[in-house]
Amino acid sequence: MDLALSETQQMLQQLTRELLEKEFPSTTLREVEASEEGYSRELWKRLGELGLTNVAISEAYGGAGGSLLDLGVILEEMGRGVYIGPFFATVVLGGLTLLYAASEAQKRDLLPKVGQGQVLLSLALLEEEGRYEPEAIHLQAERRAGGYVLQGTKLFVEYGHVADHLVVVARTSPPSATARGARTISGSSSDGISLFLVPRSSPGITIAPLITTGGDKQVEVQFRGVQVPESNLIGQLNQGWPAIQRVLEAATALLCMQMAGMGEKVLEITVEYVKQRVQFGRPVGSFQAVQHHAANMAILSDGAKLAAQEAVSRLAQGLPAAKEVALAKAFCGRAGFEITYNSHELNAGVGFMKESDLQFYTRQMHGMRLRFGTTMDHLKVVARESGF
Amino acid sequence: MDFAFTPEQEEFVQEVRAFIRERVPAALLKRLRGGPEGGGGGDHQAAAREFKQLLYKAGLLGVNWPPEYGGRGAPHIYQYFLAEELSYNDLPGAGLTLTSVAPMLWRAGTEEQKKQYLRGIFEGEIEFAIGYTEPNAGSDLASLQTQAIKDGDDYIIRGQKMFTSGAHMSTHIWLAARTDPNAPKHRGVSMIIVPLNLPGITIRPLWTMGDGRTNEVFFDDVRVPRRNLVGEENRGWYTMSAALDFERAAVAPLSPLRRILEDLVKFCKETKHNGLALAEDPIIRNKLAELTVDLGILRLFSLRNAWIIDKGAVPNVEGSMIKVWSSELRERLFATGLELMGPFGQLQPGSKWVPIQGSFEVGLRASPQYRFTAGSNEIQRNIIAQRGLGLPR
Ligand SMILES: Cc1cc2nc3c(=O)[nH]c(=O)nc-3n(C[C@H](O)[C@H](O)[C@H](O)COP(=O)(O)OP(=O)(O)OC[C@H]3O[C@@H](n4cnc5c(N)ncnc54)[C@H](O)[C@@H]3O)c2cc1C
Repeated sequence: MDLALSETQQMLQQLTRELLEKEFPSTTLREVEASEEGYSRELWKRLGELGLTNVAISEAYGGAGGSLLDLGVILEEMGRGVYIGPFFATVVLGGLTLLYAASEAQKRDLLPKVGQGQVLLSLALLEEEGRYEPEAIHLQAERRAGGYVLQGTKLFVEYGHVADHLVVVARTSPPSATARGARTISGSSSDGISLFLVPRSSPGITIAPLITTGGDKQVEVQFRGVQVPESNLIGQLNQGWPAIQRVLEAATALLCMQMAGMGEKVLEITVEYVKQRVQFGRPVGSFQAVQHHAANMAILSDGAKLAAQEAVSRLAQGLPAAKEVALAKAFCGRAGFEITYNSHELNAGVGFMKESDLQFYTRQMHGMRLRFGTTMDHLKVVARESGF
Repeated sequence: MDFAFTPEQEEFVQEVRAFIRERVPAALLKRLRGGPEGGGGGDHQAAAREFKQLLYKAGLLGVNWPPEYGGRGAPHIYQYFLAEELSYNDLPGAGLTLTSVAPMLWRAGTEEQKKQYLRGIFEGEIEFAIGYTEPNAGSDLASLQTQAIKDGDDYIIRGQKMFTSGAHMSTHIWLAARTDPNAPKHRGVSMIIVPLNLPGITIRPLWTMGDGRTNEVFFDDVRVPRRNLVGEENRGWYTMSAALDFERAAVAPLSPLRRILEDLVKFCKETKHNGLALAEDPIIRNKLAELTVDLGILRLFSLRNAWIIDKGAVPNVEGSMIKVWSSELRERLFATGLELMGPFGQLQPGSKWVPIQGSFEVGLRASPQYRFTAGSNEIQRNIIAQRGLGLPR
């Protein structure tokens, strides 16, 4: 066992941290939140130049050939830096789907551009039920001469309004009777689901923003008779779900890294504040009631980080990780909530104002808690994967 | 012992409900509900005043005050009933002016002050902002530094208040100021009524994470007559502490939380997953039942507070208990609800797909303040342990 980061990972950590401190101060974050695009183009350019969008892409496609854990270290820093932008959508959701399921030709065409930050991607998965399950996929892809026609609505598409291409999870044949009802967040394969690479500019696509608590951009995408050529099918017809499931597992674990980084930073901000805030002639951090809150936050923060690291590290090694991923998200959801809301208790009035940066952490953390399965959702998986 | 209300009390509750249902013009209701929590635009403010006047004319606002102030001389518990119904319906009228400042004016004010302010309060003409907190005096209120310097028949006020909610839409500030800088901290504070339209007062907005507005208020040599002093000079700490006891008892009404739980239960009955309503899922049922128990306990705490005030006493440790319990329950209610909504819980009010009009999203974001205002929960737990249980300091 070795719980230390590798040299490369330490380098990535430092690189990302310094980049965000310099290029993504809260003044920029405030502008980005208020803007329609919802991200900083300059920062995106820098992420590409520094090779941070490139890390988990294989060398065969011009990538750095790093592991999911390397990517996790970057996301942890993005959590610390309350980064919002198309990184997760492009590199994790879109990039990993291509890496796991696309044809050689598709990979050669797109992955190098993704690695260089020249192309933005997103995943159009969730629909009206908001469930990460094949049964909740109703968007139809109907076969027509030379291709498919897409009809339906996708929700919570992260940065879908700026993505060059959307990976659309569609239904190409009805769910089989046996499959119905038996699925959960990382349930076993289901046929009838296919994946399509769809340019955002395709005729028949309309996009409307959703206003989210985290200030990140997620959109509703409507597909009205959108034509997609045969060559844009990703992977096998009707066999798309296993790849999505694999992407969901990785994305969930990586999101936990981001949440853990965010929680750790909130703890640091809070400890700093209670050390310097004086009431009753002494720093409020000297009161045991305050210390115990801080100590609880530290326990939750460390637990979240270890759980996220184990989940990502197992995935990076190609080991089964269904239980570890579910455990991590179940715990990070809880820890993230308790850390941020208790931080408000300790930062009290000052930290509750919009002028304070704490609000960004609280809101973003809450969004993450509700995406990719809530604690309740993942507890069910933990039970199943633990054999009860 | 009897936990039930008397027939007269039940009748009063029905009267209030009928009033809200039948006597408030629909247009006014619409204007009242348009205003954001704590923010408030000009029209919401005017609408609130109109509404309070209606309430007053119906003998509801001030029901527990003597007839010479336009009340019915009813026991305090009637005001509790009124406040519960108003806050259940998200209507104004039971704010701190009525529930915290007015009782202290009644107890500590001069006859002239009672005449001057109480009727105005009931008629909606006078609204107080609460001016205790300062940049360096939060939990440690006794460290407040805003000065009131005697000058002939006047005080000259100099200093800064912080988080003065509603100052931008109030007529007066209920100000705690230092009148004797040389006395020990608790002994040099006085309560003074300061009209907010005086020269030298500057009000600056502060916006909260929950989209509410509060303020900073600056006093640059503001002159007020000494007759605006409430109670004895330099004995203001005790008036402020009692007002805070009233505030804690009042800021934790039951009905807004009851409303939140009702909304959540309705959502869980109406939302189906795999053909099964969420409320039928045993895990979710259990969560809802737990919240129902916690709300039941809050109901009992709030009845006890009403009963104590009714006997002419001021809830103290009991007020601290309800404040801690209700603020933490509020957060749990919203957080549980949002978790049940999954990704839809991220959506803010105004979104096309948002459940329960987004009230849970904004509700959770606004909830931290309930834990640390009116005395933080740490301070309340200290009070329960030290004053309530007699543990050493
Ligand atoms: C939205 C909003 C509206 C408000 N409205 C008003 C208003 O209208 N009028 C008004 O006067 N004030 C108002 N306040 C101020 C509010 O009452 C204070 O924020 C509150 O009293 C806490 O003070 P503080 O923020 O300075 O926190 P601090 O006192 O600095 O406390 C920081 C942390 O230290 C802890 N702590 C402090 N002392 C102790 C101790 N002895 N033992 C254990 N823990 C301790 C606290 O619990 C807290 O966790 C408002 C605040 C907000 C955010």
